[in-house]
Amino acid sequence: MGANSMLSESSHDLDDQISQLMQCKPLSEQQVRGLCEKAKEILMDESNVQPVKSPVTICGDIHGQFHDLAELFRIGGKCPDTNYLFMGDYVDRGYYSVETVSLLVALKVRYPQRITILRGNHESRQITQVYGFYDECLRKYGNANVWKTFTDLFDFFPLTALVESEIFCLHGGLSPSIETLDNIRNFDRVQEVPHEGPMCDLLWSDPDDRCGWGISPRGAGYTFGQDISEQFNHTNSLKLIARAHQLVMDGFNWAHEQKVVTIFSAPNYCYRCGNMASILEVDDCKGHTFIQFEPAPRRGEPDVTRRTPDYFL
Amino acid sequence: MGGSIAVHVAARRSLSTLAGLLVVDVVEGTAMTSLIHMQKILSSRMQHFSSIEKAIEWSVRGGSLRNIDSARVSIPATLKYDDSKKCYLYRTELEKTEQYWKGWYEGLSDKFLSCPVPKLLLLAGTRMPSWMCGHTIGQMQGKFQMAVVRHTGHAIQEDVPDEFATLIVNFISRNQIGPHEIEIPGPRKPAFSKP
Repeated sequence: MGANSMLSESSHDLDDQISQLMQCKPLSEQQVRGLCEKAKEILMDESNVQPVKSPVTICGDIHGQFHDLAELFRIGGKCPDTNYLFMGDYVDRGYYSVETVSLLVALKVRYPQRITILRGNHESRQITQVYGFYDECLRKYGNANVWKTFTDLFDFFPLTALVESEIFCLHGGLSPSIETLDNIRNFDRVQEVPHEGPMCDLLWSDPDDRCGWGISPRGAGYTFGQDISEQFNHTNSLKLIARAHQLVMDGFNWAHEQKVVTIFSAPNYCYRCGNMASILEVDDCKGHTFIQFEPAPRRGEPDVTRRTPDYFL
Repeated sequence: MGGSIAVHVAARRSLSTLAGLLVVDVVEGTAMTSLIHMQKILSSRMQHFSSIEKAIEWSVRGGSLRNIDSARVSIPATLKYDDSKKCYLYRTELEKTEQYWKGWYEGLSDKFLSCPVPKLLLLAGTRMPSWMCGHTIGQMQGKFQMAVVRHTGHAIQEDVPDEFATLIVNFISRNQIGPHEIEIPGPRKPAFSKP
């Protein structure tokens, strides 16, 4: 009874937090700390190649666009009624990174078997100090403690997922240092995203029309051609690589003769790109369906200070 | 303006030896929206200096530079002595070039993205929010590298020269510009196709 009571109280608190977050209201600093502590205990037990069962809905970048995430849940179905797999980049660029990542982490703690949250290249201390999450935490909490709590938690996010042993899911792409899924299973992921090496590549690489490996224009990771993905899929008995990381105007884009797909789930990215977003539904017969969606109605963007322009002629 | 010149030249593809394009804190979007403020900014600059040292001092104290050592190198060349007024003035009267400003920056984003060589865009971190200043679509499609340099003004190469040099050296090295190739670690030895 005691144990059940404890669990019941914890679930109730979590439900309250989720309700609050669904209204786009941030948790208190103390609540964030408690939430991340629980999340860490769950995530540390997950594999670098986390197994996922179908049916599952696979999602790409969100980038702090909270109201568009709410639209995604409206269209794709609520968690836990629908199982979800998110492939990283929850923070930076949008105005509501705090609410977005808090909600996804809260859902992970509340329904650990129903939602899988992977790490993107933006789930990093270095990147978030530049692209907005750090500044947003300062603005909403008055100090950087919540930023530190979340970026410490990011180290525990799994790097990749494997849906029904057939669909390999990750944020970026392949690495010349990785031939098998066991190569991924065997390294220690609990660290800041390094500037290079296999862990960096998984979060930064992009597919390319050109064969072989190429130098990524992004400055990290590699580009990989169809010959590379075919070999990787064959070696690991995979049917599909699903990844995010790149803005695609229709919300999804096939590559390498439908063996690699990019999924992007932030519509009208940065509130100006004019793109569709999409999610990929994998049903329990392994059928694939893309669902496209448009941005949620705008509610008036919050004020973000713009400085007087500098001399630059 | 220098960034605009570099992009226009690169986009013409007339330099067969061009190996890379690095643009320092120039983006079409912010440039175009800032042009309406530029005459006011120019007129608010101190216009007359009794000595070159005074001009250097002003560029750091009241102007847009932050590194006195760098200013000592760069500022003298921007000045000329006016015999009649017995003081130093700016060599280039930027105010009189206003009719050309728009042409320097209009279409710059598309030209930048169309350049076939490796590209690096450096942005000053003091712009807020800096990550909204870039070529957002191109960056998120993975078409170029962007680096935001914190604690610096517009003249990144002056304010933080060591960090600037490191970024350039890393860009050259990563993109294998120059005579020596970089070995990639890992079980396979990928063969890069040469353009």
